[in-house]
Amino acid sequence: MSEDFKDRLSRIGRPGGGPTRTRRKVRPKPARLEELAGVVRTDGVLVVDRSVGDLATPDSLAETLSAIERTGRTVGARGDIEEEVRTLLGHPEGALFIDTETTGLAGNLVFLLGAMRIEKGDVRLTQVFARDYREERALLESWIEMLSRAEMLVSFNGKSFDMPILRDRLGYHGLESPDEPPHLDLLHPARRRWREVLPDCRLQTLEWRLCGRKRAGDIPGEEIPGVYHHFVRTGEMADILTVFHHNALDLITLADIALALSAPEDDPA
Amino acid sequence: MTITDFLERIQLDRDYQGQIRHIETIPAREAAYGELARPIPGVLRTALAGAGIERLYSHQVDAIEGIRDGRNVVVVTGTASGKTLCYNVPVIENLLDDPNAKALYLFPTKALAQDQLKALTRLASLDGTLTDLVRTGTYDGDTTRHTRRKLRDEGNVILSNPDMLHAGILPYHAKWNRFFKDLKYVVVDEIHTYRGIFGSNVANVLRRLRRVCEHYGSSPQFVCSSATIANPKELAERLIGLPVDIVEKDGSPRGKKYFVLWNPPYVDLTKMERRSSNVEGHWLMAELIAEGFQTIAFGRARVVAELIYRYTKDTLERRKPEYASKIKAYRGGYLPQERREIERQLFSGELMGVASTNALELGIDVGSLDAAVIVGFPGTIASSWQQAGRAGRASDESLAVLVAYNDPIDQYLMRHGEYFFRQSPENAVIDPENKYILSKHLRCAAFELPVTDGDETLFGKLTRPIVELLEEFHDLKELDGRYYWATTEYPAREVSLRTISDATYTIVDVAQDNSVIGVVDGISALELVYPEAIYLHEGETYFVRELDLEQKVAYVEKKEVDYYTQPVLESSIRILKEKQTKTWRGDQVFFGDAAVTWVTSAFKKIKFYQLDSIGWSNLDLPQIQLSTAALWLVPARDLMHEIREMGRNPVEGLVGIRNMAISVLPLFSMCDRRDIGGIVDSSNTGSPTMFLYDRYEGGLGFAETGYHAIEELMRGCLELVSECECETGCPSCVGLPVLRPAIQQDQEGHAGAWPIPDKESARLLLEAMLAR
Ligand SMILES: [Zn+2]
Repeated sequence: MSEDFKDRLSRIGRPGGGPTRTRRKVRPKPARLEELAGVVRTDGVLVVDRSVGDLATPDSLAETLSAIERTGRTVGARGDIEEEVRTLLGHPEGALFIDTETTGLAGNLVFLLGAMRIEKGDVRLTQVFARDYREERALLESWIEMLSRAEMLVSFNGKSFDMPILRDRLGYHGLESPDEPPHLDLLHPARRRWREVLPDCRLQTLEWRLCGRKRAGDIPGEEIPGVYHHFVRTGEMADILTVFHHNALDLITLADIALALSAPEDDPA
Repeated sequence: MTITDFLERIQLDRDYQGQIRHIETIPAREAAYGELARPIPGVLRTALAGAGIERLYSHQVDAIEGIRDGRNVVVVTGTASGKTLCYNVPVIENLLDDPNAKALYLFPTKALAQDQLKALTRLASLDGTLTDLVRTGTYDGDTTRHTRRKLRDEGNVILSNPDMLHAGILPYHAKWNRFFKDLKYVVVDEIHTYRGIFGSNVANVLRRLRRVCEHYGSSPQFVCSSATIANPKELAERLIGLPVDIVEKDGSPRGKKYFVLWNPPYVDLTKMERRSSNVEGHWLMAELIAEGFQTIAFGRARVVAELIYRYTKDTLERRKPEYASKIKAYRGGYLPQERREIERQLFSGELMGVASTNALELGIDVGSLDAAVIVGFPGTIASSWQQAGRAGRASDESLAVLVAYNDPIDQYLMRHGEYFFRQSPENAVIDPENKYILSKHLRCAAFELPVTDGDETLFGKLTRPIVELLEEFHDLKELDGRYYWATTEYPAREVSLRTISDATYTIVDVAQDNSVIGVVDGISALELVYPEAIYLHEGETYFVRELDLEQKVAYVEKKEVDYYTQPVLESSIRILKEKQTKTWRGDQVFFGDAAVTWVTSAFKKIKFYQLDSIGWSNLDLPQIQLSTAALWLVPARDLMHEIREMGRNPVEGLVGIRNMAISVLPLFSMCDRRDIGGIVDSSNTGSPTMFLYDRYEGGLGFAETGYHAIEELMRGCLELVSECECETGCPSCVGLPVLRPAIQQDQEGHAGAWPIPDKESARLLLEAMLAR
């Protein structure tokens, strides 16, 4: 409890304490997120839908991603690839790559849901964003819709993080959780494959060691919740766009990891 | 031999010198049974019969009928009156009806939850259907991750505590959504422990529980239980914020009971020193056990329990060797499994006696004993009766003995037996709307669910101004009239429901591979396991080789010595910041921040069975500091002079006023007496000054209220002292408050350190102040 707060609190309810509100309401600046390229929906929740090729990412990315499709045709018989990875690569169109951004660990809300899928040779990225706390429900309704269409989920640590929190939030809003398709959490095969050769198996370590990419101008994960609260309070866009970018990069790396897992054991990409 | 025979016999013993000052006889009571309007379902009846219960007592019937009718109930009946059935029966019969239903049981300690889990699973195990039906477990700080998830997903009767509910369940309610959706009953056991600051916090946690339930569409019924206090119904209603029916007509049978006041005799004709109360207490205990009476002794501090245990064992080895191994010491700090084992052995009758601290005062079921020996007045009438309540057989006679210390309060009680028995047990006061406490919980509440207009009915009329202030400070964000949590902080972590720190020290035996032999809380550690202390554990003497403050470990080893050690404590107060001041009737009054510190500065060595110190060493230990809010009153010098002129000691008068103010201020600030501390000190202002402070880090507005209501506060004190019928001062006026911050000290050997201040000095000083 700050001194300032305590002083103000001590006046509440005291004779002569009177109303202490002198402040005018700070109205958020009009949000212009709606003007982002790729916005397809703004009612109740903001939805951005883009081709990954349109993102300002290294050129090699689009190639890597479409390589998933090519590889898929040749992995069917290879015994050195984990079965789930094989299933994914064999039929990438049914897979939904997911990554969520939340305001913290358990007990907090989901404000950004990133979902990526491969569609007729194009890699599409959908980001559903709650512009303030009220919109989480609509975000989850979009999630239900996506989930019911997905044939497979692909995530990084999603079995322990993203899915439990999404289920919790559905429960919180009294929304029925639909049946979940098979879920490939790449953290586990990645660990099995690279635990010995890499210092750790965090997503960004894999990104650097497997894909040779280092992020510039990215936001550290632990700062994301604060950025979101700041956005809700002020409507300032700059930092929250970094979070959109961060989320997109995470998803793209997810696809890279899947591909790397299909390479022979002795070749860490 | 009956207890009546025993009392006769003891008075013929050659060691008897008229110690009995009063015998109060509580007549026997017949069992009163009742019939339920609708019989208990067959399977449950089978299980109950298996547990030897064929009929229900009238209070059980009253409680069950009330709960069946959908009302909230508080049950106030004696120890071992079958209180647990009052809620276990309706909860289980409802589960038979609706297998999806859930119940949450809250106990003030983890040990109690464990004890009740045992009782509940035992009952359920008596019938196959129930075994499958009741999926229960304790959910607390000790629960493994795996079990937590299982309980959350599958449990239907969860046993927990308010602290866990506050910081480990409510903030994660989304994970519990299925549980809360079907939550039908909330049991709040031993509510008399929820008073003062702790109670005000718990009341807010329960309000948060109610709004989370409402969010998921449930509206659970509350079943509370309480030991005897002055206002159980009021306390229950304030705690849960709903109307409550009271069930207090105890239908369980009781044998005749004697309550004896026992004063140790003077050691010689100078009539200065009395025989050691610990020695007297142990003698009574040994005599009772030797005659075959199962006996519990209560000591105020851990060391007392250990001493009595050690002495009793010694004596029994000579007097009745076969019983010497059938007694144990029991106290906080023993490892949980050791405690469970002692409880079990006591219950089964394997043990003839236990020397305990108030750790056994709470309702852990150890069955009923024949006798309770209470060494030293426990500080409240309610506690005295609770400890005495450990003795009480259904048909046989029982005995409770209060053995006095040679200190002013205990001696007053010995002189005025009628005072003790006439006094009603204390009121339990809570103030859920204390704005400091409330603002902390409104932050937690907003984290859990946005705060809306409707929350005013739960949290009271200060809700809106506080929530608006929180928004102004960017903790909350208003959207469509709903206030959302808007920061990355985790508010529940910043709120401790209790006043005692939860840092724990472990005590390890260096001679036994550093195995842990006990634990102690951070504050007590410095009073108990300082370097070179003798730590008593199961009556054995352990020498403290080292206290590692960083790692919070005390390294001890067994060492045969013929003494134990006692800490010497020093406390002081320092003004940190003066925030407000005013002249009140010519005296200066202040409100501001102050630091109260205390430290174990030295220790004394005391030979077993003696009172006198045989050695003394200084210590260099860190201070414990409480930064809090205080009010201080500096009586004008001429006023003090005036009292001195009248032949009275004005400083003693001020001490008397401080003692009374600690009893009177709670009437204005709605807290417990123990939530307020006081010191009379001259070092801060240069003249005698009375400080009253909040015994809670950061302060909770009690002293602040006192500052604003100084006139009413002082008038209240004057009324108290003028109306008290005593002659020179008593525990009801200038005498009572126990202000010692230390809790691990044996009261013996400190006798006379806190004499009852002169009543007339206090009265004259107050009159003079108020006459100006
Ligand atoms: Zn009196």
